[in-house]
Amino acid sequence: MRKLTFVHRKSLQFDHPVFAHSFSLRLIPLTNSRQIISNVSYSIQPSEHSRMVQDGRGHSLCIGDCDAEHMDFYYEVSGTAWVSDTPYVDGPIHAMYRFPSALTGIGSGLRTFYEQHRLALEAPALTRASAWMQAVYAHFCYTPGATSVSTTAEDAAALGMGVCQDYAHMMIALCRMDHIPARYVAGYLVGEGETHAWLEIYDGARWVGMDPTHNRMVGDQYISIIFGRDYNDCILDKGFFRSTQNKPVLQTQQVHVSVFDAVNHNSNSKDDNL
Amino acid sequence: MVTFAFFIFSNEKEKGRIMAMKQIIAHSDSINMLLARYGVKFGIYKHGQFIEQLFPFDPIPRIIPAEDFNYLERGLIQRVNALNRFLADIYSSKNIIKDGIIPEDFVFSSSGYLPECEGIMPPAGIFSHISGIDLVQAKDGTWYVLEDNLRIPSGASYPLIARDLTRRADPQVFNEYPVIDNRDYADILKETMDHVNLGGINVILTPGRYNSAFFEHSYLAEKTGSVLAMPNELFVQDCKLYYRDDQGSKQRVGALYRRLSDEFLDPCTFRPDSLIGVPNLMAAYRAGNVAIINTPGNGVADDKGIYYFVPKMIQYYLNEEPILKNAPTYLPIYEEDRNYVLDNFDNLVIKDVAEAGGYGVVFGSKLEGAEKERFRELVKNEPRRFIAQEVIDFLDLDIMDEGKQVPRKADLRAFVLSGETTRVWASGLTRFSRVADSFIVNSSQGGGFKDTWVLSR
Repeated sequence: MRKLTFVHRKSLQFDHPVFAHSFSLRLIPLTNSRQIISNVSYSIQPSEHSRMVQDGRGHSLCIGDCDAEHMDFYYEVSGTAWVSDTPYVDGPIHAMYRFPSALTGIGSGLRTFYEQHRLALEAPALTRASAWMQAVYAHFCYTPGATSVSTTAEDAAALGMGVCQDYAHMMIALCRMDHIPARYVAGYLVGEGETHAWLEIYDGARWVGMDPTHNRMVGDQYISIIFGRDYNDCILDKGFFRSTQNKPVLQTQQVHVSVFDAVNHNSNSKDDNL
Repeated sequence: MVTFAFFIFSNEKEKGRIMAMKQIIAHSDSINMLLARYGVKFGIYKHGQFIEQLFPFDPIPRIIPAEDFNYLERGLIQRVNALNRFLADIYSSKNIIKDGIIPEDFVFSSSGYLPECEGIMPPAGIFSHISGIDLVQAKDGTWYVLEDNLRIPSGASYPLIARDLTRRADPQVFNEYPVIDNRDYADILKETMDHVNLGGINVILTPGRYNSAFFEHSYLAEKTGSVLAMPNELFVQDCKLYYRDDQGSKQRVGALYRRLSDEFLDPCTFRPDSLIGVPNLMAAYRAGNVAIINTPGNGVADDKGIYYFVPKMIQYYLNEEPILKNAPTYLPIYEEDRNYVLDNFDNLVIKDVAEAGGYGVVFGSKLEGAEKERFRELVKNEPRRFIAQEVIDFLDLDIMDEGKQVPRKADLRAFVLSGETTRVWASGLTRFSRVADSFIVNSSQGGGFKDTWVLSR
């Protein structure tokens, strides 16, 4: 297993004071058959009453609030991920990953694309999914700023431009149309300064990670944080606050993500000999 | 001079009914005046503008004889019990899908299905505390269920206040005529909230006065002794829900009767673009610190597509035969049904499963030429979006229209409350269309309402 260190920082500045600020943060990447997360530490400022809870999909989230007036909000999480060099993830299939979701609905554009590129249904799910990955990769021109977080697969496909989220949504929509269950994954990738998005398809026995933005299978450079039907299910941080002035709050934000190989000082530890 | 259609009946019961009716109608002006003064209003959006109008009240009540009500009561309790079992099953083990009774796409592609509710068992296992079941009676007397409303069914306050005012205007009628008193609704509602309360006060959460049912929210809060709160008066701290009162001190909330739809309930869980709602409410709910009435995620059971399967749910969960009938319904997703729908298009009413409040309802016979072709294509291409039903020839009820008695289509929303036991409120909201021959009775489309009198014998 590859040992990676991840650090994720985000800071927000408001142009005037806010109060009654409630937040919900997905800080801790999930542990599954492909990756083990350890040594997590995090800090949130300002924060009161923060606590870890679980959501309906078994993901942990940190909720809390800050009632006092403030003009900045900051969180940081870091930890170690032991990651296998495999795209395969064990786990149950939930039927919701078979059907279109809010951001992966099918319109006439995707339907036409599907008809033009489909393989015979007799081909194994993974073969067909690989063909969809190739088709989506070829269709898009990676263009930051062309789409937003609320752009649907249909709209992004029509545009032919987008970022990792749009690649993932389009491929998910096509796979589901092709009777292959698929789910959206948000996470970290070695070498990326921001979070990344890809997807997992269900091949009949287990989940398989695929990254259409890079046209490759997921490997040991990928750390999954959370999965869901589409981006809407995988928003990493949400916060709501009230303004002290009778006007909208303007925000600026900085995100910093770094993932790198951990230096292992204990390579000869006794555990290796057990 | 008003002519009464029911004069053709001659038995004693009918004589009593006619006498009662005559007296009520004589008082109708003063009742409507009282209603206006009370502020019984219903807001609707027209051309993007919020218009508040009086919800037109018709003085002639719908009368349900004791034996009819007894039958409806048994059928409604059975139906709501099965629906509650279904919700518990869907958000846990999903046996009804594993056993092949309901195809999974009807559940998991429904917009009412909320993955965020997976694995949550609400207090006392009750998902639908207040169910509004819409029924119609056909000309041959048969009752049909048209729709289940398990999210936030509104309307109970209207017959409640109308009865109150009618009694004030003419107490005598209710001494002479065996009408079951419906003023126990608030008590039943309070018991329903108390039954699942997890420690703290009962709160009714309203989105505010620009909501079509704001009158009802305030009325029910007053009658049940609950606190009426706006979303910004509630907050979550340490996975518990609190109400901040006028003095700024906080009170723990044990049961939240929310009149805010799921997607706006908690912006940290559902739509992040929502500016209303209570952040992290779902975390408090999942932690078992507050009951939410009705529970989020109930939309999966009152989808117009799932409706088709309710009789099957009753057989599956209760091992009983359904007492109440569904209107004959076809699902275009099944080839046989789709062919039937396309062959009998003019005799059917087509409903868009995602729409509510009388929107997205199309009568095949009313469409013409290209529009009809376009709709038929839509049914072929997006079969999951629609259901088709035989048009039931409703029994008309008389209403007073400018001093004349005229027949109009009407339905009945029965309220079923699930607490320690499941009970049917001996009244209900009778809605009617003010336009002759129109089948659309929804209050959001400008219909009116009647009181519903259930007879004790």
